[in-house]
Amino acid sequence: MTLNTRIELALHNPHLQRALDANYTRSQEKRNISMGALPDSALVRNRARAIRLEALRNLDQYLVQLETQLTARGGVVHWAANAQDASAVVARIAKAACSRLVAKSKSMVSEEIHLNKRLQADGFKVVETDLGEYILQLRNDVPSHIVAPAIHLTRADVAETFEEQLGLPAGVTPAQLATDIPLLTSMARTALRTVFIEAGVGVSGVNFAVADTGALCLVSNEGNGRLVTSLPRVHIALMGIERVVPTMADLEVLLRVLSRSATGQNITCYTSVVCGPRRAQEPDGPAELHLVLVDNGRAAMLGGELAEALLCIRCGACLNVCPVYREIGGHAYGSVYPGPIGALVTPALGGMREFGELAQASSLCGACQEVCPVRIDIPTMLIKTRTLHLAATGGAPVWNAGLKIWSWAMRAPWMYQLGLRVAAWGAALRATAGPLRLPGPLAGWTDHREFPRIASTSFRARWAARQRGQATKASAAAKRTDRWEF
Amino acid sequence: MGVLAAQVAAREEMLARLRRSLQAGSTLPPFEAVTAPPEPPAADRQQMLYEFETQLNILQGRTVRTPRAKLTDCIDGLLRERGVHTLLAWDAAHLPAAQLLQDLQAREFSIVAAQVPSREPARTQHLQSLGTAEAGITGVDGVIAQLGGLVLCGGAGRPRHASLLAPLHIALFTPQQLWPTLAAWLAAQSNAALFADSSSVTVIAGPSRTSDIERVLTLGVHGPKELIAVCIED
Amino acid sequence: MVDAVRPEIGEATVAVLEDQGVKVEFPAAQTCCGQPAYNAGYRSEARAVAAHFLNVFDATSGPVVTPSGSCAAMVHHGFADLFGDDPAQLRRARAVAARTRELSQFLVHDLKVTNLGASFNGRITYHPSCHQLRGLGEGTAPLALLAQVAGAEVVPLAGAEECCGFGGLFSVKLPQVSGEMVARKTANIDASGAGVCVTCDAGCLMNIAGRLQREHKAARCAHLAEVLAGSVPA
Repeated sequence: MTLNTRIELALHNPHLQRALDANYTRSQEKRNISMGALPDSALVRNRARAIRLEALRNLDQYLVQLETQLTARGGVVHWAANAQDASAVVARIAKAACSRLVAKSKSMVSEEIHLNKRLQADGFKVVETDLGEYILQLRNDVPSHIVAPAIHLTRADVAETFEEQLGLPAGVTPAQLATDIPLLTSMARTALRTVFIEAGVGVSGVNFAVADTGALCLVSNEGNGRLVTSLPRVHIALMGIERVVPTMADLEVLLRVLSRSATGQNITCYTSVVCGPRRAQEPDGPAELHLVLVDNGRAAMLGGELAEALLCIRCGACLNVCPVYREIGGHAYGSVYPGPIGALVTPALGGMREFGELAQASSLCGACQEVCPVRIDIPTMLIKTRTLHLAATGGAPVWNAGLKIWSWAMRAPWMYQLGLRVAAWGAALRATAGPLRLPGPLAGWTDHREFPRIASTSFRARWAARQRGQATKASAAAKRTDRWEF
Repeated sequence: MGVLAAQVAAREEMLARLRRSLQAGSTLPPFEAVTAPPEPPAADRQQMLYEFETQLNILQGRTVRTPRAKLTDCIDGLLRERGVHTLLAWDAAHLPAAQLLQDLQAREFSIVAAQVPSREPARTQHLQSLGTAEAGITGVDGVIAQLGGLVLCGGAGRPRHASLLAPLHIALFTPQQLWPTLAAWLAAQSNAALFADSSSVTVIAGPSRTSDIERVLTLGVHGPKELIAVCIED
Repeated sequence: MVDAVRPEIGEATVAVLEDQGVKVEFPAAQTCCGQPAYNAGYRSEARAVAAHFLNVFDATSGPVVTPSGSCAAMVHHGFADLFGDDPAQLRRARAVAARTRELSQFLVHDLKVTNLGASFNGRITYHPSCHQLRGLGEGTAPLALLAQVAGAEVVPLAGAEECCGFGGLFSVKLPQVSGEMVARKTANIDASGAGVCVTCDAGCLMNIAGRLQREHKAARCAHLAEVLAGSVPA
């Protein structure tokens, strides 16, 4: 499916449109209040950015320090250069754990490496435990938002799926179930509680890894992150190598902006910082903790033009303010990472040729940069991505030619002025032929709005005339002929 | 190539790739000097307690204040209101009221043993029995006013499950444990001490919540449905 | 765009400046700042056109005033990016950028005037262009000027800071999305009750006006300069 097809589908999905509209307004209100209440939020954002820049600039050293610290606490660190290797590592650990059931909490990296597919092929049953992801899994669907993955579904959709897969609770009719969100949620709680208890392996993501202690920080509101990392005997944490911060104090600064930017909460309900498997004297906790460091294009990206996009802390604020995401939603991007940041990260990691087109899904309005907690200059990087995409694909001939000609004309004033006169003359000629429809690649303009008439006397012509002392005549004449009132 | 050798090779390759990228004059923006945000002004305990209560309420947590002499009655009341019979709990030594658990047991509440066996089938069986508890009682290692957050460290006698599995989590604290910010609490800990005897530090700021279905807020999806922070006033 | 499609904006700009006692020159060799190519990723084409711009304006002295917020933003930020690897060009670019102003910026911050003795009968609402608002950081000067227009009732525009959907070639490359975005803008203009929507960018103006026309709405779109010069088309 092409980008345009996915966009069309999104634009013609009324429930999605309502959900996106509601998300746009509510999430911004909440984020603005919460960030507004943070003392010295501008300074905190600068510091957050500086921390992330420092981490990236010395990423090799911090990863080594992380490994040393975590290993000293009994954790095992694995290095995976690409998606296949990462999945293979997880499969190997899970196999050694002798349990067929794997409980998963939210991890975008796991989606990026297609982990579930690999584990299922190897005979494991993988259950997503984040409520939104659980619902999507039951429906064979994919997330459409970083923080609210099932935003495109209605309660009736969920009820239909739960009735099918979990059975109707006693004494409840389908119609009742379709409107009872608390009941749906408690059905999920019961079903998943069994999974948490019986799973021998828990797979989680990592929000931040702290180099100076070897600790892994996971934030969640539902509590499934805590359950997945506390109950199963083996905990496997998947992490993109860029998600490092140097110190515990640095972690706290980033936590100050993460949930405020993501959901407008001052902090998530649960912030778990785990450091190695359970100690000998601890009553519970996993017996094994594995950290899988996933590269999958990040090291290369660090050396490229889009390196700044690696600062991202995956808060989703840019999605929430983007006027384009608001119209098309996450599925239209066709990627694990949607929205403004997705338009950078997806081509950078997944291939510029195939995914660079996503950078077209932007009017460069800059709302994203305004809310980014680490101040990533997304608009400038979108432009860079467009240039890289052109280099990777050669560009479309009609645009290449058009822009070439345009740039020649713009460097030779006589050519430009000639072009202006020709356009004005052409406009005058077809003045009686009815509404203007622009040709070829420009047709999109007139599909949705009128195009103005080229003025019969350009500004520079009027200026020149005025310089020659003929101001009154020229201006008056122009006013008579220009009928399109814009 | 054996698994270990492959691992070592992958590690070397990844580190080499990183170093190459960084040396090649990465396009990361240049160093920016930043002013550290100022520390918040000192607040007294009553102010901090009030701020903590306000913040905790925002995420649907509750605070209850009780004089030490009335603690057992207070907890007893909260538990009976909800038909609680079975409890998960931290060891008495780690609670700010050493006598409480004994008193509750005397009043017919039972406490499930905390220790989770490592091997199957004992492990699964024990987790299932933990699942029958209707409430968990813990202490805290810090109370963060600005966030409405409770810091719970792990360690001997401090099971994670006591604040996680049951529908009700009761956290006991004293005003002396209040800190203005998480940064302040962290600054007072040493990295070594944090994780020597404990594999986890958790900040809890409210009962479990989700809005994954149509952005409608629902509490108690996986973790506790209710969080009550009990302030013991001496 | 002003040159070809709305020369009246250029005339109004000159009138407003001359009215303030400013001597205005129009270097005839000027064409474009290169923004359309730059935004579309056609870097070498953009650089060539920007270089021509520098040649033209380097030879001038004094402030360079444009009635287009996005062009001013391009000169300030886009040029620094385009010429980043050419120290000589970068120096020239910085020098020209230092003198470049969007019209409302020039009036309010340089000439320090907000009351130009303009008048307009009717309700006005203001749409800030994204590049002016976020690129130049200029959200207040246009409103300060509009507030002093005698007889004008300036009403707020819902979602004022939301992009109108122009985005240069975005409007023809993703026209369906652009169409939805501009439809929201015109609906908000309608709801504001204003007869005229004022903006400081010809691109936004063409886009919004074009949609208002297509929807047969009564409201019109005019440039700030036209309001200040008293030449808003009837």
